[in-house]
Amino acid sequence: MRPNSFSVIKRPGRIRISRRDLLRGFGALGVLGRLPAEVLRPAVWTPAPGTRATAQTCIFINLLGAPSHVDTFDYKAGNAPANHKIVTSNGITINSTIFPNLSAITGDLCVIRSMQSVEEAHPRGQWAVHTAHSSNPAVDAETPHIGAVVASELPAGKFPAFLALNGNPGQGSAFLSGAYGPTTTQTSCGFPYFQHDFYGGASQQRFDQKYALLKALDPSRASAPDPAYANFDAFYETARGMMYDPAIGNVFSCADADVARYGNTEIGKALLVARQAVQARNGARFIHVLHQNWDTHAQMYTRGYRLAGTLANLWDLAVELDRGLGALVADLKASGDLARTLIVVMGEFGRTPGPLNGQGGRDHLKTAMCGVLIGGGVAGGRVIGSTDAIGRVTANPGWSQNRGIYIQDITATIYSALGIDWTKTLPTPSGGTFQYCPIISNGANSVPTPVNEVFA
Amino acid sequence: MPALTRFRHFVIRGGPTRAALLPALVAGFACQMGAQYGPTPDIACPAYPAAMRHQDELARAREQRVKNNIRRGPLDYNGSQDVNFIDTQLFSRMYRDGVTPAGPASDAEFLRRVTLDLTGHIPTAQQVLDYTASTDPNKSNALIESLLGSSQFVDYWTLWFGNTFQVTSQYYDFIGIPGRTLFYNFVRNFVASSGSYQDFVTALITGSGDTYQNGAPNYLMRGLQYSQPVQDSFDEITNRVTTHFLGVQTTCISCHDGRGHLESINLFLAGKKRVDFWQQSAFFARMNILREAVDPAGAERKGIITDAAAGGYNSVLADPNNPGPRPARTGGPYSAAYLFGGQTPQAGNWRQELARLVVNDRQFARAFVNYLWAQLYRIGIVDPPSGFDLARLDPANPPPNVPPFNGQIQPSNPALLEQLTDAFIASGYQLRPMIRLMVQARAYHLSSVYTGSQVQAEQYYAKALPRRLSAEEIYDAVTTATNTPTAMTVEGIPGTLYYAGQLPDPSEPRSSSAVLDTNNYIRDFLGGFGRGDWNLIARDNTSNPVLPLTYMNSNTVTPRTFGNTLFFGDSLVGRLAASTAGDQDAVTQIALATVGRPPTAAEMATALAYPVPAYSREQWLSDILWVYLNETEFFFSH
Repeated sequence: MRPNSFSVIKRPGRIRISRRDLLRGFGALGVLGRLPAEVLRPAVWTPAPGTRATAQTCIFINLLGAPSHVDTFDYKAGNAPANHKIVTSNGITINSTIFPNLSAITGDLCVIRSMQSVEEAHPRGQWAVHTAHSSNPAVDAETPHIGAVVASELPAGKFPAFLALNGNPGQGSAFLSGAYGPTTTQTSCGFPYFQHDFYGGASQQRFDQKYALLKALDPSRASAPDPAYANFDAFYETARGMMYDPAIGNVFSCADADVARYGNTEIGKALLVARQAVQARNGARFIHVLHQNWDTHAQMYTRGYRLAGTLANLWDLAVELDRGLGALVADLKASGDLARTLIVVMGEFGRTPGPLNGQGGRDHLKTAMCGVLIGGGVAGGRVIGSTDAIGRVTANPGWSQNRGIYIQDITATIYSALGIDWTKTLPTPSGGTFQYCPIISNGANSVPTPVNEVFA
Repeated sequence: MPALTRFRHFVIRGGPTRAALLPALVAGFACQMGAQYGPTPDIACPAYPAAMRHQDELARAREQRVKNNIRRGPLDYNGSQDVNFIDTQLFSRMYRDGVTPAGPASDAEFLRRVTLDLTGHIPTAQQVLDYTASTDPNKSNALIESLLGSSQFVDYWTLWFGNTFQVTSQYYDFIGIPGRTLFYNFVRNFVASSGSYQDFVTALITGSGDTYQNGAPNYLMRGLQYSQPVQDSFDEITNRVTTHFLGVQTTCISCHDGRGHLESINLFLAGKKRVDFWQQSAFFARMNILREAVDPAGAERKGIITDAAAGGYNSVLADPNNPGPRPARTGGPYSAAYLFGGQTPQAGNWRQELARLVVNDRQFARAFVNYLWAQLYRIGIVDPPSGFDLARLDPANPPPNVPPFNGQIQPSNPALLEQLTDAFIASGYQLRPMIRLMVQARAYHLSSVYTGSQVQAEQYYAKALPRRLSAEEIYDAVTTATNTPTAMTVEGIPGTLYYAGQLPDPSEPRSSSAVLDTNNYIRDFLGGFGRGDWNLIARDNTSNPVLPLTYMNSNTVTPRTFGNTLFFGDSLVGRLAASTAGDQDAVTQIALATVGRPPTAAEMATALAYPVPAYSREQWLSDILWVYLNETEFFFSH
């Protein structure tokens, strides 16, 4: 099955109404649905007790399609072509031919090799990555994205708290307010729509007049006849706040020299925008960056191999990720922002180890996978856990719970780093309970636990 | 909305539970449009003692209300205004539970809603004036008939089916433009005809031959799994068939047994094993899809689909080094057996046997009317409509009273679902009669303005729920409102297209060169509003701040609010600026053209007071139009 992170959750033609709005009841919506998000939060934010609170923003790089762990960050000898250069530093063995930059900064990488997944199909695996929950059609509509939870918990700024670059993050705010949903752009660098540039020098003044007229004239902006309308107006207000503000526009404005350093690729440009969003220190809390096509069933070491016109081989994908991520880490470090920014790099599961399959690729595997954490209080140059000789199963979990590390544990780690109580629950509109990190369906019903071993 | 939400209502109120509410309804009104309501041309109705049953039911409801001490709402219901059984089911339930429905929609609101919902277009200003001025008591039916007979109806529902089947020429390298276009025309011909949905689906399941010569087999080609074992193609196509035509996603049990996984998700599938799925998948095991290069480099490939006379679903892999994404299969070869009843093939062509079993399954009709209902009433009677749990449909045979289902059946209104199913079967499985039935119902004519609770509105269909327009509808609404049609050319489609709703797949309109042209702008606009790509990116009609940023500031919308330009030679503002219409008339024309109603008094006053001393009249008109194009209601079918 081809990766399709969205097919299980989105249907054509459905309206989506914030469940929290529904819970509050229609009467309250006219007011509450329109308040700026921060009004709903306590005035002073303090980290939840027992959390690490080492980071203020998370950049989540989602390698859609599931990268091969045994060719990337859990490298097993002999897997790469013979002429590739394999290097080891800080105890991390890595293919420097496809990761020339990351292999030089192993001192910043915390590699987790004892990860496992409960899923082996892309849509369900990606759903878990996005929400930390197993997909269950009965409650999926009431399961928000991790980024929406983060946005609802942390202090707001002018910038959208939950930014999704390179496309749809697979789920929105569900029953949390629409204000916490993702701001999704298909274009990262050079997003062109922050000015109403139709009237020469008078453009901004003319736009302000038009917008004021819109607010005065549209009857549903004063009292929305439906929650869907109230959300729509809130999006207009956010959009208006982003226009003609250099602090916002500059985030999406990319210098040629930077683009060249990050690589003129979709992932490179998205990581450049992510850097600028972090450096703006303006309220970006969760930045989801999609990197597609890691479902390398075939010809994974054939440079230039494409599917439907886009690169679909491990070599090229790794090189473009390496270039952007290397530059991101270097830049955040230089500006002093790396220490407060947690970068997570992972996909939805691992891939079959040992010799390549008949197509020159690898297939799906849930018993072993890997991930990388950088910055945000994480100790670099560290490896958590290990797999067996070829990478089929976990050999040594390497952490307090002495079992495989699941997406729920990674999510608990992210929440802890951001100062969010990962054990929190919320009532859902249907009368159920939403757990920030639910019990893991790994056969042992394990309790999600932050991987504290990653922290410095 | 998840089914759980609906059940909560009863828990809170301590009102009648499933057991209490159903006896009167279970009997079902096979077809309620007897003599009392007049004949309906497409559905043959036996004479039906509607009035008698009705009184019965109401009496029971009254008893229940007294017994459970339920507040009686102001709704005074006696069934006399029911247009068809949909109203009887929905309003009697509201009456029973003391829920007051919204008032009737105004003529203008109804016109805009039904025009959008049936054709994907907004009405023109003249249509609004004509319809609201008409005193014909039968005008809504006449309107519905004219919409059902329009070419825009064919465009819109062809797109609706296309979005379900997702046959896009961007599906890797094995559906090219010729196959896409043939498939589009195949679907379009079905929608244009009064043909049977049974025959249509039979053709999709049994499609054979060259995918560059025949439309139908491209449906199967879309399920082909590149570079994976052939069993994965069978499995994927099987899941597509059960999802599209039976409303049941079966992909879970293509990897593992239901037991231990699906008890809290789907009781029917929880009782099924992976081997049951293999036997269902075996209906495709005699099918062979030969991929044939179309160009010398093999960058584009078509399919030749044939059937072998013998064989079964084999667990042995052709290439042991390429096991594919699913866990190893065991046993076999398996013979075909229908997952939803155990029937086995009676003839050698297993795909024909599968088609026969599927299209004659009552669930086939039930799933379709529910998909249709979810489109027109926004929330399925079973929702999501691809999530049927066949073990929780029968009110007489509810699931055990344990979490998470707690003895609750799945449909929010099982009797209504069964009556719709009956009506669809009785109509000869035709599309238009079902749509007619749903939009003629008084329930469809309710206002979207409602003072009751939103939760009740959703649970009872007590108001018209707004639907955000799709990307194509928004683009086309801007085009229509501003009178700025822009030519699009699409390979394989004759002539020039002007509306996004006519595009055969979401890779269109393509650009002929790398230079930014209008096709590029239109494609970006549609992508930004969530058109999806029918492959990796699903359609998404939710919103976020990037939408208004794009809409307000991109070249796709604002230039259409200007007077006549090189690109738009007959724009609405150009016309108004050149006309002798007074300011009030101009504002009225703009409101009618955009939001499909006259301006409110407050809107008129605000517009007339818009302080623009330095502007020309054309600039003033342009700003008023821009504001109406940005009114929230413009983006909704409400």
